[in-house]
Amino acid sequence: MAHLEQLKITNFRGFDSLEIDGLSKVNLFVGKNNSGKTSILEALFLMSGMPYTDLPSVINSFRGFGEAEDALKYLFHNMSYRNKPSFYGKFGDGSERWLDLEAIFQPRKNLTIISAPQISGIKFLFSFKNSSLQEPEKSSLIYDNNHFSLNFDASGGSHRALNASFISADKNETEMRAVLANIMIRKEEGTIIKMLQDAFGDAIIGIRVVSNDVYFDMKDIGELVPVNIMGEGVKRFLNIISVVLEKPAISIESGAEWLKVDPVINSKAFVCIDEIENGLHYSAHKNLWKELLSAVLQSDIQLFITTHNIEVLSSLKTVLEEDFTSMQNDVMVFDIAKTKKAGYKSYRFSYDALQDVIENETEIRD
Amino acid sequence: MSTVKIFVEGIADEKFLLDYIEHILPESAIKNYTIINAEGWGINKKTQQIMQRNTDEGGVNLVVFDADIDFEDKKKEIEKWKTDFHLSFELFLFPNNRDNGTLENLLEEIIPEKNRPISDCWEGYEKCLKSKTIEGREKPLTTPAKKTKIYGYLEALLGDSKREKVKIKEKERDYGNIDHWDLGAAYLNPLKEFLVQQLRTR
Repeated sequence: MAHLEQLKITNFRGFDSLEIDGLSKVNLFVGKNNSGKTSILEALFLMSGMPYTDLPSVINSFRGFGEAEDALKYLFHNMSYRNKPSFYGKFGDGSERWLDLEAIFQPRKNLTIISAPQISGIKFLFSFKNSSLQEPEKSSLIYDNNHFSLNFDASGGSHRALNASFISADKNETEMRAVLANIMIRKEEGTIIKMLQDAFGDAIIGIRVVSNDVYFDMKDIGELVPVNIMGEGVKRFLNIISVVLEKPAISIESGAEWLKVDPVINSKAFVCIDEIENGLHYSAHKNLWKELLSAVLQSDIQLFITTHNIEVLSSLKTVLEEDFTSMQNDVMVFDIAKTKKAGYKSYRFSYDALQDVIENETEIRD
Repeated sequence: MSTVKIFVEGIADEKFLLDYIEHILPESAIKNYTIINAEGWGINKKTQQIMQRNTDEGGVNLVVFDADIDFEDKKKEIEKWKTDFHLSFELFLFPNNRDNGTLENLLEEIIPEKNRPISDCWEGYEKCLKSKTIEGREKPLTTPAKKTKIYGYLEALLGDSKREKVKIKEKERDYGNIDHWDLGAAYLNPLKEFLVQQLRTR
């Protein structure tokens, strides 16, 4: 599967415009707070086509969705509906994706009173082109914030989506359950348990999903232990690795033949991980990197990760030096900044500059 | 955050500029600056990104490299980076932004008068090498690089102890030591003007 190489974002949240070139298999975004790192991940996820007709994870993870009436306005740069967010992605095989967002407003109840329009939803306008298409394929989805639904806009054709996941900075439980259930159905929980044991010791000997909650089977404890009461680090680690290893069959509901997940239904294209370090002690970072890099080696998955933790960068450097030397060219770090003279910019650094990035982050901290 | 970034080829240049800037400008009158070792005379991707970022943040880039064997050629080649890589910088080439040479040529010129005899001895050594032939060897003997001369110069001045000898290394040299170097020498004027213009706060 071809990887995303170039991303352009316009009028989305804090960005008037941002261009990122030279994306690779593993992409880290660093930069000060409020430099827009999370917005980049959101842009990637939205652009993938949002193949899931069931929205809980998006609603829980994305700022603005599922919240107070007009929180969706924060998607629009400077909160002006005239600034229509648009996204462009170019892939390694020459294919291109476009996405434009439009606001959908509540119908005016009382025509005699003039008031500011209330946003009630978002229209997603997608385009896709590859070398075999003469013209771009277009499709649209309607997100209704009143009913928390996402529906295909019935104008015919089909909607081409990439299989993508978004792991938010802090909401670990919500994302885990369905993902873990899927892994167990495929009888692959043994892999997850081994990874947990390597990172946290051999007290964890099993994992279960019971009545929609996740439990650990712990050595020397007679009852299953709910994951909720485990430390944030264990939950975070479990959340990340289970999402990365997930191979979901996108459930095509009857009547949803319009949905094409491209190109292979079980192959995950993007995983976006926001603030990867949250809750994790630095001793777990190396193990997490090893599992992530293994997953990238074994599949076509592309990772987009934000961090502002120096130990995350240092442990990645160590793992690339010691265990995954062949992947040194597959890792890129993008320093995102709102510059004084040139607006939002991204500065790309490859593996050999990682030490400088680490030192620079230390400099900023000092 | 630095406002002036000075890009040099190696650790010797870095240490020299650090000491020289301290000598010519008091701390109160100097802009924020960082010296960055570009590790060689080229312009790799990493250096390009650092330079670009500095310009985007309103900073100034200074490139202080060696002229080597052809000043005009080197100047033209480096200035071309501005268009090839969309970079913005001011350029100074050792030894004096006019002649061929390197940092070591500049150092040769700022040896204090009283230490000239050491330099004379070295010239004697070079002349001697040029006059000798070795049986079975067709090519003439190579004259040691200027760098070696500078090492030899410092070795002659510094004592025998390990602590003294470590000061010969490029990273550990003290260019502010008036027994070794004359930082007030007129030969430094082109470099002084360049640095003062870029670094002095208005």
